[in-house]
Amino acid sequence: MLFNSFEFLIFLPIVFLLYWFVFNKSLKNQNILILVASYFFYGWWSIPFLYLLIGITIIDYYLAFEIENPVIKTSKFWLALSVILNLGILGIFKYYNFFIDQFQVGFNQLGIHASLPILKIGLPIGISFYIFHGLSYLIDVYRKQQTTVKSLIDYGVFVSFFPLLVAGPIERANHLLPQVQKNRTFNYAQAVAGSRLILWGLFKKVVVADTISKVVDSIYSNYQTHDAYTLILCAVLFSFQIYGDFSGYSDIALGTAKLFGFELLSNFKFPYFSRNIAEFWRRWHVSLSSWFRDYLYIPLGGSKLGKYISIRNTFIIFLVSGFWHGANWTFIVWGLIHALGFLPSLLLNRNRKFTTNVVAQNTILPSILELFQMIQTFVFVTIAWIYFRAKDIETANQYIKKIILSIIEQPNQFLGKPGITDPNGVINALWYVVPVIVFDWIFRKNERELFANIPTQTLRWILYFIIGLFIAFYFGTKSSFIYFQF
Amino acid sequence: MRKFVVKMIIFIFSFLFIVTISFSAIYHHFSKHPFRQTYRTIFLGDSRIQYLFKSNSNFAYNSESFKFNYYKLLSLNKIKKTDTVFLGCSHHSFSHYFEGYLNNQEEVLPRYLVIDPDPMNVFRQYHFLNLHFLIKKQFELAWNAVVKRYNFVPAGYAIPARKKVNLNQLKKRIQQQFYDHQKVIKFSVQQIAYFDSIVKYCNEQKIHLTLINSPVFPAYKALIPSQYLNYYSLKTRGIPMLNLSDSLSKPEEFMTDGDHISRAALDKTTHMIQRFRSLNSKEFNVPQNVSTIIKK
Repeated sequence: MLFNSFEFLIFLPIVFLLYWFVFNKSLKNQNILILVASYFFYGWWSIPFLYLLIGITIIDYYLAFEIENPVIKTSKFWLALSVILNLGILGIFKYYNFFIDQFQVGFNQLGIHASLPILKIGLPIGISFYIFHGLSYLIDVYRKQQTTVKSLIDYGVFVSFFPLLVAGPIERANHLLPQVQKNRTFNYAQAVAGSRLILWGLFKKVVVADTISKVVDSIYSNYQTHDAYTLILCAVLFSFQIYGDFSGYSDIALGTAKLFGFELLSNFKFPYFSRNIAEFWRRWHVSLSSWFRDYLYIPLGGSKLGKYISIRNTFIIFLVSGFWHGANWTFIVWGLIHALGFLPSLLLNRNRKFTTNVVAQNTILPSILELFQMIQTFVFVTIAWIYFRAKDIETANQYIKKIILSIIEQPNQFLGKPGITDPNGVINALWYVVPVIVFDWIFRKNERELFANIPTQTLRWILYFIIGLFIAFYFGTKSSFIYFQF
Repeated sequence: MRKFVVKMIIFIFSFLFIVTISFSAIYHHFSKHPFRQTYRTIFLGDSRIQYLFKSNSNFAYNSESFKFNYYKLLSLNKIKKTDTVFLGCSHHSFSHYFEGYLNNQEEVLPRYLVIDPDPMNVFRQYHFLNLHFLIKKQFELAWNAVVKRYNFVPAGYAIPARKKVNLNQLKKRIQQQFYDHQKVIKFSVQQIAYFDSIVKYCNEQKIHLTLINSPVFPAYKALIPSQYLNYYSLKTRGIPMLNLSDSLSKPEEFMTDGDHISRAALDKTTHMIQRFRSLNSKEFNVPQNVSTIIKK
């Protein structure tokens, strides 16, 4: 079931009313309801893959008890087994065909013509997310940072809670499980904040991302025929498409969870207002970056073992993070570009700059320096997105080459383009970016309390109506979220 | 919690109220004036006619059946008295394949909600989960009518694409329009009934009706089943006709399907129709072999 579907608009109020009015007598009943609703939510898309989700949940639940074993050797064995099992399942569904393709190419180059079998099944939606949920629990149990959960229902809710099931945020056991196990009372302010997040998330997805995607898809499908000006604007548009799509999804997930009394981890903190790449990664897909930081970067030594190890570890997590997004070289190159962008901050010890404040902390507008830093970061991120969006590396290289050559060979034509007709709709699509920038700027100090700083209730309601009208008008295209494929 | 639920209900209902009121107001206004109409001679039909003649008096629209041609004619005639109607009528016009555009076709029905005498029937044909599409389409039409100054009911000639005939596409088209699982498809009862209604209405209102048999690629014409060729002659007998079906023959003058002209032929067909009109403007006596005269 998609958040931007009619089915979900019916599903959500029903579950909400049952949760607070019928099953509110006991925590166990509420958790059972959430689990059933979550499986219904997932099963709406695919019943066979629902069995996979349930199977992994049960296996991880029992493995955790073995990992909790006081004998370290035994505990380590069970942890290794569970990591292999989880990553093995992920690998089979997500990466098997990619590796088979690579082997095939390698064999062909060696003159060996072997026909290796490929897997003809789809990728289970959200597998990367729920596998990572489970792994965080198992590793935390091994590290004694988390005790095992006695109730399978509670553990099932932790893994499968429907708002975060298919595209995150990637939750941590020590953050979400205590909320699952604790009595929840209705909190008016929390529910209002949740509803606002849902409204704004739907706007970003349905109105902004989906509209922009039509223009971006059509330009990417025959980029060779377009001029530099169009290709540059298309790259900028994709930056906002993926932001609107994924942060919109995360806002809806956070907002929905709030309606049920849960606080999920923030996933987006206005990343395009970042002043360098290090800050960008503290603001973009935060739950994934922090997952890799805690379960990969720090165990590898983090930045404590000298510059060389620190650089090595940085490259490892960016490459793995890229590969996590999909079985394609484009994602690996995308990770590599970000690692290279992160390197100067790391070498100059500036990667921990901007950790405590937001841009223009005490002013309405940014300073010239801040503006320059934000634009510079945005340009870098946008170039990297070209690799993320392109179907292969060759396409991305050609795309960038076309832009550079057009500017060098026909600078006058390039400079003279803006202001004339807009046959590809890029200028028109740019208008959809404006409200996102304006509202994000207004709300930039607290990503969880949107609209709270709008001064009067009347003004807030007018805004809700306007945003609601836009959503109603654009609703119904049933386009999937980009991050579902990961 | 009660406060939250009450506020949500107030928000949702006031939102729906505002949307419904605006919708009704727009609907009410445009059902009276669905067209920006100043023409005494009008062209009606489906995409074949829409691409055929470059003129603002061309009210044809793609996938439009005789039913909506009929209701369009009624609306247009109400806004400005019509003298002459050129109606697209080709061999495929009587095919049962048109019924698809009359029953639960998401893309087609919402366009005509305003001129349909039984709008509730249109609503009934929509699944509850798809109703939003119908409503959304009305707002889209209203937006275009108010902001872009289009007709509320979509109408108006379109520039055809620059393509040329592809025999596979042409055969597919023939299959789609004239066959159902290798058997010749039956005639459409609704199309025939509304065709008769148009003829009758034109007689009653003293409107000159001329049928246009639009150009088709020779290979397309050769594949039309004889049943349809015979029925067409029978059905159109006695009604003035501008027969352009053999007027073009070059592959680049058609789109891939062979039954729509391409951009390469647009000026030619526009000129043919203008010439036909100038020849007949005074007395409206249709020559025996029109296509021979206008080709000159």
